[in-house]
Amino acid sequence: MSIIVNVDVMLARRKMTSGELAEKIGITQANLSILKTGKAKAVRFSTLEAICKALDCQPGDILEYKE
Amino acid sequence: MKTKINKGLNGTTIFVSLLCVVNIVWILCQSYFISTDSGEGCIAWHEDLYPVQLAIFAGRLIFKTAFYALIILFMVKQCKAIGSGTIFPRTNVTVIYTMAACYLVGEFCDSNMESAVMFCGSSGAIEINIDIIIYTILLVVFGILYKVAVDVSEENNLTI
Repeated sequence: MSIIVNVDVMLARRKMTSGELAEKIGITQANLSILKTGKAKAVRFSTLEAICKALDCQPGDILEYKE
Repeated sequence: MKTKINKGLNGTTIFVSLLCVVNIVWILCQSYFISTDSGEGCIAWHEDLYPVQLAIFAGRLIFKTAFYALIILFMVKQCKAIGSGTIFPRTNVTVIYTMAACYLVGEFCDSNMESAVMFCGSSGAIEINIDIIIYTILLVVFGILYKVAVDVSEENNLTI
């Protein structure tokens, strides 16, 4: 898929662990792993909003389009 | 609610499995008796028609037995899947398609059993029952719909 999820990069910038983020946004670590590895088929707006809030960033910082 | 569905499905699975086992035993016994006994209602093996007779007899025995065995497999897999939280297991799609193929061949052989095997091809015509084709198509349609359900379910699981 040409949509790349940059949650890893943002986590490193904010010096936060996956576990902490999963807990903050209220999803399981397994689901966060699906998102990070690019296996996810879709992201709910509510999840995206929670991630942006937790990482203090914009949706564009997390999602990237590459041809 | 989930426990209720599980219980209902488990009960149905046991009931269907029992019916299928009875049918399998019936087919096996029937095949054994009509192939070994002599007299009326038994196979009249004919030299010229032997390959056709054997194919129809074996086809009926194998594919009808396989069909009922696949129904049991489908129900058991469905039960296990619901127990583990997946509603539509992908492996059941193949089971449904195989069931359709087994049903078509098995019922075709069954409908031709009398004329080709018992009475030694007395009618001389191969019977094709339209009902068999309709039920096979219905099974294939069910398989396609099940596959769509599997895809939707997987997509839903991968929506974060």
